[in-house]
Amino acid sequence: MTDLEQLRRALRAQESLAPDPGDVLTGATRRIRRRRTAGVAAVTLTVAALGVGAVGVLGRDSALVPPATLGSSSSAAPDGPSATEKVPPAAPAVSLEDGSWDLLMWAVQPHFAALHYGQGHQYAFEIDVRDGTAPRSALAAKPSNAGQIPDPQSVRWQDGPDRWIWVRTTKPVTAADMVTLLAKIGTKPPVIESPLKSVQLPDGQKVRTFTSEPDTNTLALCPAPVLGKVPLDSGCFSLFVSLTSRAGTASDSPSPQDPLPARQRRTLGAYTLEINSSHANAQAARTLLNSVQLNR
Amino acid sequence: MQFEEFAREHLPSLVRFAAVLTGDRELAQDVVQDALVRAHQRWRRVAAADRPELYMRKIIVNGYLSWRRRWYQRSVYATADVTRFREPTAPDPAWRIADADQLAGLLARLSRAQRASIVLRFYEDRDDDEIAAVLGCASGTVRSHISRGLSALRVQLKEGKESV
Repeated sequence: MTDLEQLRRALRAQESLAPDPGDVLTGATRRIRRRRTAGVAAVTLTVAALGVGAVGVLGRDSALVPPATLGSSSSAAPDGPSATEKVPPAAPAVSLEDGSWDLLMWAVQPHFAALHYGQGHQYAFEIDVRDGTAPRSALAAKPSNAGQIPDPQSVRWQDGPDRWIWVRTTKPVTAADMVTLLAKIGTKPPVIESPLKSVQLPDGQKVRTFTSEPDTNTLALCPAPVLGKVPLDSGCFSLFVSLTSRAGTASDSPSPQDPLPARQRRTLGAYTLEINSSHANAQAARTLLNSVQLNR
Repeated sequence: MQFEEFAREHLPSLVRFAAVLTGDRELAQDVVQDALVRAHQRWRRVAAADRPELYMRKIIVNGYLSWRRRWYQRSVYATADVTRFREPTAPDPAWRIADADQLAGLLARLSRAQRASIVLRFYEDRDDDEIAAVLGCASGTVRSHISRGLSALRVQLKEGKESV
């Protein structure tokens, strides 16, 4: 086999990373709708007032459900302007209860949660939990026998009226193996002893992304009206907590397109905290950075 | 052709292209979403193009080339490619897969223009002129990107194998 054949195969293998076209179109449509709303809002003050309201409504409809929606019941936070959001957020109420797989990390975003497991540093097992209706190709419910599974390494099913689950693995499993694994997916939240203990959120900020790993946390915060905006708005903050030996990999200067070009760092014990923000929010970012407390 | 019709027909291939281009599911989703929004804003112009699907790739590649978000790479670590957990020194028969993963990792270290050129050539089978149209550069520059990219890959592959 030539290098080029190997290269073509490696490129084709990356197709597996393709996002769901339906999800992409939904997100794009939402943004187009927001733009239209904003455009209307610019016409007159009256319409502008309605437009701002409409943006808020769209935001709540599409992106303002806090991560706790997918989390354990104890984490349910009230959703309102005066609510104090729990940070770090609760772990999602789903996990693989199989001792042969090690939990590597979990993550939550509005309408989304993910858990990654590893086995023998060789195989991966990934659970995605999403709000909404599953793609049409998904199963109506969690499969209970091998005959229901067309692709043993990738199974999607509707897990409730407004939630669906996607399980993938790199392990070459049979459909029967996968049924056995799926039966071990329960509602017990995963536990990872990650470093971030608490942080003081700036007013109006909501959790957009939180990830928990043994020595690393990431936390992206955004103002409520732009919580689901892609890419992050310049009003957002991004906090990264990692062992100091792992930090410092991003030494390049920000590009003009970077919405969060201001970077500040702080060391705390064995960890380095790094926060990215807009230059206008640099002071608030510093305050946020100084408020961080770690578990170790 | 209406925007919605175009999106329905071409979106599957566009998300696959973006995934191969970026090597990152979330980033692929972002750049395609952004491209769709941009295309919608100037739909008449896109629809009037000789090859709207190529024009969309141009928007996607431009977004990829200009998009640099350190924090984002970290944030999406949670939902990154599961195949990265494969052990590069796995015994046969996983060797071939490990090689492919290793190569994917090396691709990610190329400059974005080199990577885009290589993806357009060896994944999409585009010729120099098409790639030049997408990248907005001369055909000679495309050949340079591809040549240097392949050269870098071969050197890195050689070094990688020697270190295993």
